[in-house]
Amino acid sequence: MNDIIRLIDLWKDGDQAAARSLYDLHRNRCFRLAYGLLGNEQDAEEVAQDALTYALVNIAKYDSSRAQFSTWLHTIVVSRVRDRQRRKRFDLVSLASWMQGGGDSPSNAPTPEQVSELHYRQIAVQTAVNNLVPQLKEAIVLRYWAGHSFREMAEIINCPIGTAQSRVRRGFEKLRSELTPAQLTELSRENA
Amino acid sequence: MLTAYLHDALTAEDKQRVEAWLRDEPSVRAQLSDLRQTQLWIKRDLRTHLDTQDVPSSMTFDAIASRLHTPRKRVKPNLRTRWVANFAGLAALFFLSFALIYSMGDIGGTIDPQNQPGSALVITATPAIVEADVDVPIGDSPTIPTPTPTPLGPTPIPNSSIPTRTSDS
Repeated sequence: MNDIIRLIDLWKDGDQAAARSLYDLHRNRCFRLAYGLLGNEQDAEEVAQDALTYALVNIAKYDSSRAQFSTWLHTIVVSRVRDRQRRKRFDLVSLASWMQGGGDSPSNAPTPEQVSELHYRQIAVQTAVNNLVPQLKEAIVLRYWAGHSFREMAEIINCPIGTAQSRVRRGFEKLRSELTPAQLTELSRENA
Repeated sequence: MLTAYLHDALTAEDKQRVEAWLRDEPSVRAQLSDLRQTQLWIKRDLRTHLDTQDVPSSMTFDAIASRLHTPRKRVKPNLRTRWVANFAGLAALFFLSFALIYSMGDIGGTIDPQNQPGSALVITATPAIVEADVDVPIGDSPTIPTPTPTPLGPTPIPNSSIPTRTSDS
């Protein structure tokens, strides 16, 4: 934490190496968070790059007394993801992508070859998470994957703590209902 | 209710009620245990899935370096510096005002010293030097007409024009 603060101070003084270190330290998490929320590698990369650039350019806006740097960064990523989802809703499906067989299906949908390699259980959980509505997906990814507290989540998704708790609970219920009894049995067998 | 308990989303009162329920009912304990297991598996799978995602090789610092500029540090002067700057500004204004008054006195007119309280204010303009555009033979000095001082302000009323009362009848 102190290292991060030191790097931030150095970058505020114009040290490019500090900016590079901050970028390298947070690059993976930002990309994976964006990927978890968007389910698309290309979009996730753009969002993560954009969020990191914004954070570094506007480093003066970061207040270390209010939140951790990673929490602030995740707030920016979630905001960018929401913008992207809003824009996507109005985007027309590209004819060329249809011709190439891309369609408008989620790009992370596994191909038959991948299915054979990937685990059945993992696919079930991935599919269930991808099928969640954006609000619940945000809550589940931030809580279960990023490990944020409810307080941090409230800060990131800009809602009261009670709402953050309720979204995680509803997301979990939805995931559980998506997983069939057979999948749950498989889960328990593997875990045993 | 159990899901809410699992996610710490209950009020203190409800939480106590669920705990009492869990103590008394083994089937509820089993249900909670199942929920906990499912939650753990979902967490684990989600982590496995996302943490093994390779970050694209094009996502590098160099790709955004051109969009970055050195953040400008806002330097706020301390209180003493601001006081000194303000004082210097006020002093400059003070001397400037004196300089202005002095320069106006040099150019402008004079107030008639004989001007008495109650009488009309008379300001006379200082004669300006007029360069006559005439051919002047060398050795002679040009005749410069002296302008007659013109009283400024209201025209004085001659005493004779004031009617006098002659008699009461």
